[in-house]
Amino acid sequence: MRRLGRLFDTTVYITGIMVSVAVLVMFYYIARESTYAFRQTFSWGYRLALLPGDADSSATPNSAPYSSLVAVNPEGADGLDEKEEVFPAPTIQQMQDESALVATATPLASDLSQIRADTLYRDDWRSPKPAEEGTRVLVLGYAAPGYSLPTMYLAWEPDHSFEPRLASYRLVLRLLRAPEGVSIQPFEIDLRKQPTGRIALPTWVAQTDAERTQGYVFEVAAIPQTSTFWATLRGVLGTEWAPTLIYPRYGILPLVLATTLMSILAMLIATPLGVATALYLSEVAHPRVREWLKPALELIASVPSVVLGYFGLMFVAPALQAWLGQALGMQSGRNLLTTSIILAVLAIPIVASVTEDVLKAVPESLRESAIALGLNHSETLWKVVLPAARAGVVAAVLIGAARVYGETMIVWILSGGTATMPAFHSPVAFAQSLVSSTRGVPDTIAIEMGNVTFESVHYGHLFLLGLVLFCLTVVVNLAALRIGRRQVWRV
Amino acid sequence: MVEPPNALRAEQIVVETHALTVFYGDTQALKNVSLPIARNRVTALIGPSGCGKSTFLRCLNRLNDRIPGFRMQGKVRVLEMDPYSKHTDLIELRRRVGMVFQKPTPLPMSIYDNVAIGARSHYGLRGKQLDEVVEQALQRAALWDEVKDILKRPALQLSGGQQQRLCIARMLAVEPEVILMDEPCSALDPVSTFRIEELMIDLAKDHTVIVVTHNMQQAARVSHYTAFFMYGELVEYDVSKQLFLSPKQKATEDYISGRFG
Amino acid sequence: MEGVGESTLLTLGAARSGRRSRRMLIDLLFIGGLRAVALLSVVTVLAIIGVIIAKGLPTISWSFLTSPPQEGMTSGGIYPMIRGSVLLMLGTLVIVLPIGVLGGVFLAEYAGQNVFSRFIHASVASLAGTPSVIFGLFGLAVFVIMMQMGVSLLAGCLTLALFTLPAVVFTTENAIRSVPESFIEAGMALGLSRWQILWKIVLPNAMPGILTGVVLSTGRAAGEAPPILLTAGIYYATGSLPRGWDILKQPVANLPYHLAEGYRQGGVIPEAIVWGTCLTLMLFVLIINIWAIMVRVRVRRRQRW
Repeated sequence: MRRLGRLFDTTVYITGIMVSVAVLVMFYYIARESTYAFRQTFSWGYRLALLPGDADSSATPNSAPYSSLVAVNPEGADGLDEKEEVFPAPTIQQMQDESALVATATPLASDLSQIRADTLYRDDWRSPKPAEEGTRVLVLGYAAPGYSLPTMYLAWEPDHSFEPRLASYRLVLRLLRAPEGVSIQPFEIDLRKQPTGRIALPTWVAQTDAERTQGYVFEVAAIPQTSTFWATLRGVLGTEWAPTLIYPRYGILPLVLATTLMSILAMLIATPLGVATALYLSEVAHPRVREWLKPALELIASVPSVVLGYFGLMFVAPALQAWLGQALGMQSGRNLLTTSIILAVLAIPIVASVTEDVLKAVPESLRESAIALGLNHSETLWKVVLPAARAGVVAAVLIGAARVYGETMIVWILSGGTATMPAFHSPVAFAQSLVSSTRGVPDTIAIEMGNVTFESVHYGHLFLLGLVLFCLTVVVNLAALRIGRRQVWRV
Repeated sequence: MVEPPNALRAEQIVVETHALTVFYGDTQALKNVSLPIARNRVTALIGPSGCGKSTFLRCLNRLNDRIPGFRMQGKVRVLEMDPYSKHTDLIELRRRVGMVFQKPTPLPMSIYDNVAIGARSHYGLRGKQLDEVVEQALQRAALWDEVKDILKRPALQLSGGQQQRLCIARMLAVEPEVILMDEPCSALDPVSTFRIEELMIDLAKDHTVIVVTHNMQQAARVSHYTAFFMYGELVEYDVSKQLFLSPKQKATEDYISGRFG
Repeated sequence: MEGVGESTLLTLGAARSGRRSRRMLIDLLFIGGLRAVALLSVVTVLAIIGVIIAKGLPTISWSFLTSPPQEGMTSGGIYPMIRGSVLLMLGTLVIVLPIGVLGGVFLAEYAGQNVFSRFIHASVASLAGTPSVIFGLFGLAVFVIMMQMGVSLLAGCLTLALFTLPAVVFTTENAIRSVPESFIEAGMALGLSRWQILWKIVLPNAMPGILTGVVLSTGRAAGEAPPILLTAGIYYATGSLPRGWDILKQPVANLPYHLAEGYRQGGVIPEAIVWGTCLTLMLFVLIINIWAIMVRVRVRRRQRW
């Protein structure tokens, strides 16, 4: 019997300790998985082209027929490993046949002395090299024999979704070598400061295929400035969340801000309603009414959030669109405002129920004192009962806010799904972003985790998002716990 | 029926109950109590716990109908008003009938606001006028010198005795005519008790004070009249000296000589 | 009143009559406002429930509840989803009940009142307020990938068990604490050891409270989509299931997941079926809740400590 007791005690201790460290274990594993975010190689892509001297200013490297795409993508990001499309640079003969005037080409070797006429390539799609120390890509530039103007232009622009301003490394374009007999000042352009542009060059005409290799040699080089860790963090603090781009962006600010904004809005609606409902239940309602009302309120707290989300989608969103759509220029009823309203519906019973418990704990002696002083009912509630329960009410609101902050399905269904930064620069713009499509943290995790390669960079970033959400809600919950403990009437 | 003391004939009666009977659910808390109370005197209600004296007190400003199962019969008149009539303005009644509770109940706000809250609500006072009323009330409650520099501090930081005097000041700021005290000293130390007793005697100059107490020395010290309750019934009512020196009833004698209770 | 200057007294008298009616008006408005707001809250709640019932009821029939979906979810019933929800809930109950109850016993009877117990409280409270999607992430990383369970019923049950754990621990703790001290003292006086007191006096008396709490929290878990989304869900489910323990290794369909995934697929599921599924899910959770509330009320009436 005694041994059985000992066994029971031991089991209780082990379980208890397991339960109490569960939150730490969860924190550890989510943090561990989020390290995959830091295992990334940064990618960049540029398009360089020579343009004829008489080309109008609207001509771009994109429209030039023989431009070079210099892209350094992470391996496998574009799924083109198997069928790499790399084209040999045009020979002088080909260019003359097509009456092309100027061209660029990428040599296979990144060493000047190794450049050979028969290994010149115009790279299309990719050449898998990381943006690490020593990565450099050479580009040759030359004109065909038919070209007669004294100058030509080197133009450059980032590959379609690449944004050099966001790069965490230095990206430079420099002239490495000018052809013999051409005199030109060497230049070096910081592409982060000047993402697109053009620069005039004296013409170099290649008469033979061999002379192509003596053309201008430009170099695009990525020079890391910080460790991958800091560079990833910098990326995370960006203002754009676009993980599926070829050059992905993992800025979580729009998601965090949107979630914060909709939680605040929802709590602005839910707090007065919830607290008033609690006041009614605890201080005004007849006990028999309360006996029915309280369970009714608990019932809504138990309606699954996905059902609330569908309700919002089918009723609130169309109604709001019909009512305010024209006036506010709403694209659709699925936006931040609609989401906040349904989130408030979710939060009201939570706030009301917790607040009611808090009000019940306000000692009767305070109410009696106020009544004995001749305060009427509303004065008693407003001046005595509510101030006495202040800490608890704040805790109730925080608990509701934490619940709303982590709510997934309602936001998924109703937010519209576009990750955009809310605008704060003017009241009108701010109001506009309240009625436009958005996307929050929890829904992003739930939606994208379904399409992600396990243990990839994107996967890591989703865990990083989870980590942020986890920390925020834990902090809010602990604050609620702490504030709730500090009840003023505890003498 | 207990006859009121002869001396009461010379007094003006401001509070009076007639055949007051109170039930809480199935329990009878007061049985047929008729008790006239004199103006500007201290009247003490004594008796063993649960004898109905607090219930009696709470009938006078109608503070007990919040308790579930409360029922009453009989008549109550306080300052020409009937607390249990539908037509009575209860707010006005409670303005004129102040109450001090057994445990000090400072409200969760500053010392100043505690005293000001009643005057603000009833008279709409602000600024200098309000300051004046607060100061007078605190002075009258003999608390001013101790708190005049810390008026903005939370009232909960005061000691028990100070809190009780604060509650008295809070009540005085509303300018009541009748003051109900429900064992105001039972949670306090002897020094605070002494100060509050002095205060009661002082207040009785221009207020009607009704005090419930467990402490018979206190009743003897401060009160003009004493009513002795037992099992919800009024057993004896007399001038205090008379009641304590030569009680007419056996039960009273047993109680004041400490044989039970 | 002596002390207050004559001027003050005069002002007091004049100001009061107007103030009294204003105070009364404010009081009426304030209390009326509270009534109105409470009414609004409750009406909103009932309206939402009512609308979903009205919309979903026409779809619900015996065959809707008992037949599998057909023609790529565009017709047929939702039997596999109901089955999946029931399986997940049962699995969760089996896992969370022993762990949660023992955890609650630990908190109520073993942890004491010190810095350590405050840490435990804070830790369980933070777990209680953690969003369900975080549990999904954890389940995905640990159960699905690391322990190689794959997306499966077992991984889903474990994740949901973790999700409901803090609520179960807290309800157990409260239920145990509300057992009157006199019962325990009586046990001590009889010379029973600590675990005998627990086993024979505390737990039997706390059991109704614990059970309703556990059922309530698993009910809430049954309505949560995100944990399932990441650990156990499958969209295209068929009518048949493997026999025996193999069932644990299979992914399952279930009601909230079906709604979430249906939304992701974008309007494939006809509206009528969506409402039917919503109503079924809501009823699933509501019935659990109503049952638990009724049990609680009955128990409270019986146990008048």
